[in-house]
Amino acid sequence: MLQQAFDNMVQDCQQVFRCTLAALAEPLLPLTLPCLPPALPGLKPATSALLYTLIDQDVTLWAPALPAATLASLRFHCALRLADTPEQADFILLPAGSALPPLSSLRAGSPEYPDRSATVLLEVEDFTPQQVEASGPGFASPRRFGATGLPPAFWSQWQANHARFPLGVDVLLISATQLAGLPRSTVVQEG
Amino acid sequence: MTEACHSQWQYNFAFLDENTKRMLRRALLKAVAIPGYQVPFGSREMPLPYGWGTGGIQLTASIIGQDDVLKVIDQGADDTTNAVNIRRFFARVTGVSTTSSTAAASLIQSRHRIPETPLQPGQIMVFQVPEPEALRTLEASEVETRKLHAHQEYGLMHVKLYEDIARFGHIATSYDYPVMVNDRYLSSPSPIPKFDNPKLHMSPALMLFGAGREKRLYAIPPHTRVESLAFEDHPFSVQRWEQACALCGSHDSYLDEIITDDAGARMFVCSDTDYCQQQQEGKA
Repeated sequence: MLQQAFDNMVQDCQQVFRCTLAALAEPLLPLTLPCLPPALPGLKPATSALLYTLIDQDVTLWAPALPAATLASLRFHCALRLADTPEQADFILLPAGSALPPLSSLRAGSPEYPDRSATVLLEVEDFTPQQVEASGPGFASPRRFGATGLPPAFWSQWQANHARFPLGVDVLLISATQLAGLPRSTVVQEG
Repeated sequence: MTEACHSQWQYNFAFLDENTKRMLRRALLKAVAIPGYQVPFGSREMPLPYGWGTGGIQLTASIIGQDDVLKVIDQGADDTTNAVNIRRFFARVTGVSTTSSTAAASLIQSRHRIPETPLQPGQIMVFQVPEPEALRTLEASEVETRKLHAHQEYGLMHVKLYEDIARFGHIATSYDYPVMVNDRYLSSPSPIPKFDNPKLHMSPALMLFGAGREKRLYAIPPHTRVESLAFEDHPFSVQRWEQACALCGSHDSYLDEIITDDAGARMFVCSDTDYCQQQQEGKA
């Protein structure tokens, strides 16, 4: 059963992209997506919005087992191509509660082309203002941030990911309707 | 958006097809994540030649939306050929409103200037870039410059600036003055005058750079350290003029020298026409 995507793919994808761009430009500042499509089974509405906006036949996605209706809809709307392993994928989709593959195992780019790296779409329950203090490009001053439902040891993995800069992966943290960007340039201190 | 509008344009919104926009958008997200690093992209043929801002136009086309208010400047001026054409192009293929006011714009495409009016949070600057590789005049090979960036090996550029000092007594580079972004990547600020370099440092606005012929884009996120290269005994400094603007009297803006007759008479006026206008109105 195919799910309906955005009402107006062109305009809605643009809106979601601008929100994503702003989220990575000012990391760990949760933004509410301006428009949401009907949620795909097994995914949050905001995640569906990002998939419609970012995925097409030029990139590969890895995800743990997804409902058949979700896969069929993504194949129809985005020409989805699935990667066999997370290590090969351009986008890693992690629905709430799924296990996080080690960030260090994902595509991190090469020293000459650090952009050839993975982007992780990571669902969380909600954003809360404690856990870590973050700084780096996009921070006028250090900002406190937290998210419930993060995989265990996520922040320590993140520190290792940032330490490889300019190599590394970038993460988009996604709640039901909100989005927070976590580019590899962000420095995070726990506590 | 009414159907009537669509059929009238005969183009997709913002000219580019959705696949191209997605490719550009994914590249832009990586560019923002790695400040100052040049991300390759598949540059498309545009309805104007390379060198007329095809990189900037493709970036603008991939980010612009119906709510945006677009300003386009060419060397600070809203009313020169390149600026007028690009503004009209986007008005036609998107229907967005356009402005010459820096404060009213959400999206500013620029050829070689940053407006004098301070940028605001949420604004996006798009620069048209002829040569994105700051090291290109020193090293012709892309393979080599990629390696130099990978190893953060920027001695070549310091030697070039040193040779300026040895020959002229000061750093003679006055535009396209190299910057270090976030203490990591040496970047070309596009050929903006070095007068504008300090505006890049910790700017509240997002800066995007697009080079159509060279097929590369890069970004400086808001609140990012941008340092103009210099030496301790030859610190970075910007241009200063003895004259004030002949039209508005401003002492703080970047001035163009205009020859007014065959006898060599000249006047100095603001390069930023919107700023100059505001100053004149403020006085009136």
